[in-house]
Amino acid sequence: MFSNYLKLALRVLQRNKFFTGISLFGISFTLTILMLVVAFLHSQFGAKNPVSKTDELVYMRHLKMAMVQNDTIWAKDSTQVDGIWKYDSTFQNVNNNISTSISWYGKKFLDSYFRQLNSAEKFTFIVPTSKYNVYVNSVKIDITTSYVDEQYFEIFDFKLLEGNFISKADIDQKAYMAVITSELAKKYFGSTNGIIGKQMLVDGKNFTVKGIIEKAKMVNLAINGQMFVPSSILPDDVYETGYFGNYMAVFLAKNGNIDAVKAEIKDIVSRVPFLDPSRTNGIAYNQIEAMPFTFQESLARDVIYMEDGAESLFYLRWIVFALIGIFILVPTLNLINLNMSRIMDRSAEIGVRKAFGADSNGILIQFIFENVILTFIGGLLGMIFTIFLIRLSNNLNLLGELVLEFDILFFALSFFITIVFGVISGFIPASKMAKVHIVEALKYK
Amino acid sequence: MITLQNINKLYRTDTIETTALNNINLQVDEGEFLSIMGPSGCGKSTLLNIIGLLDEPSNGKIEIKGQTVSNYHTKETAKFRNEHLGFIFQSFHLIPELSVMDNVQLPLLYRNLSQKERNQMASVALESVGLNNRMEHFPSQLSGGQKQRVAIARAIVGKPSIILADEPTGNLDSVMGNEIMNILLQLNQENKTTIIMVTHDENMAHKTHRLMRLYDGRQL
Repeated sequence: MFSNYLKLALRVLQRNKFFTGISLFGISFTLTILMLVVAFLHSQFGAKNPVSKTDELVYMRHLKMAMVQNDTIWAKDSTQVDGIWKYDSTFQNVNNNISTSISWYGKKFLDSYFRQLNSAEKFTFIVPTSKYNVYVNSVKIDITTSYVDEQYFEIFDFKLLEGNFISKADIDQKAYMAVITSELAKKYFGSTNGIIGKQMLVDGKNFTVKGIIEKAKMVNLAINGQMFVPSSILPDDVYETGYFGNYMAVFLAKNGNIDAVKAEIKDIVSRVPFLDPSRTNGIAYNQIEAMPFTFQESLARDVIYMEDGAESLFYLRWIVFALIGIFILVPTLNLINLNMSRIMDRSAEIGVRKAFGADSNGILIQFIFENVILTFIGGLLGMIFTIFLIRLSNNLNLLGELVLEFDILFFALSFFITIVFGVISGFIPASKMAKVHIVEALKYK
Repeated sequence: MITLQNINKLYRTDTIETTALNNINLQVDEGEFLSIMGPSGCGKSTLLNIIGLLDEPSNGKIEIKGQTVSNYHTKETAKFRNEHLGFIFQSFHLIPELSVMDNVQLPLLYRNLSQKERNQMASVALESVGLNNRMEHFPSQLSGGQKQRVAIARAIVGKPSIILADEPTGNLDSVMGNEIMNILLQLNQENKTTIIMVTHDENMAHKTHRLMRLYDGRQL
């Protein structure tokens, strides 16, 4: 029976070329957008090298210090007492933020308070993505350099293509060693072969290439460098004023308990002494707040800036869900509308089928099946467009460091969405027509 | 074979009530060829639809092959139609996207049959109407007479014992009309198929065993 339905579905699609074209355009366009969104979320938020432990990481990117003063506001108003107008005064106590500063962490601050977290299995302090211009054969190359410690490559599992990562000895010896991405190796040396041990002149200093890694394929400050060198080569007091500096910290939670890490960080910060105003340009900061976020919260906060990263993630999720919902709903309603008019043309066929023994369920299944075939073809087209656009985006670096991926899970999810889309947009018109009385249906010529 | 007792059909709107059939009593024997005639709007097609279980009477009792079918639920009715009744319509009602072969097989889709069995049965039906050389054609490639022959093949493919034809020659010229009439007569004589035919054509009606006339929903 289904082969008959399939045959009929394909012929109906061939017959109504205009309808088929409009429908397929709508379906494939919708699914392309949907799949690109899913690919983006999957590639950016999903766990994969070098961030395969997304659920176990806590980021400390910014420190917030504020000077808050208690103030009294006196408000005067007129009011009636026993029919006579009198003045009425109100006093209100409020906390006024006089000054708020947010910046990266200072090395000394991190060393003093965050080297021994009970809840963290590992930690790394990073000076992320400093940019240097280098000229190779008169061609300018922008090199993004991150200063890291020995635990960096244990937390972020970059794929090592050749050589070794930065070691504790490199840190201790303040060695000018560099781990570089294969992309930078090709740009700087023209090849990735035989360059271990070779020298690179960056920022007026000679670095020895120690390892070659595959570059991170997602946008994230902590991992987006092209060149990773020991942070110990930086002077201790680099750019530091008070507790602020140029560092961020990433912690790997013990047993994945990120809440414990967050709580411990907040607890430590609550006990940190306030700085003398002489060290902070005369501002008497009396509130200090570390802002520990999970990997996803940290990313979400880059999109929707809110004080609380969890809140950023919450709103981002809802916005994404709402957009996906609208993107499915609008074309579904359109397709329902198109299907209604198309199915009316086939009224007589429904009447004949019923006369010869089809029941309402049979008719319903037939028309839903036909719509699923239509959406399936639209889905396939959408997938082809998506693969094309993903390749285009990756080849032209349209999304910067982010490399979009297309995997089996993603394929299955898109297929599922396609089928749901087909069933939903086919169900309402089909169920309406399945209920039409045979005699009425047969009146259509 | 078919018994109709006190069949009435009323159409009601908010303001008006129309009587389409008024107290129809009818007995059709097995193997009989009955024609129904009457002016337009007298209730011929309504009566045929009620006999064919395509429409329900407002009241009255229908018995077909000893079974009181007027009490059937929708699914039972669909099954009964599929197994015992075949329909021929004035405007053929072939599905334009399906080939002649697939159109003829349509009633068999609702039976538990293999593709091979369906093909065999459809080939036999098409052969009996002389169209076995047009199996892969589409309705748009056929003449009116050929279309109606396909419709007859579709009506008889499931070997129903009753065929209901609603003006089967109404859209055809006299030559093709006679051709179709001869096929129906042959079916009636050779297979003993009971046929009830609505027609406007006196000549066609007189070729059948019995003629029933309707006027304003009443039997004359």
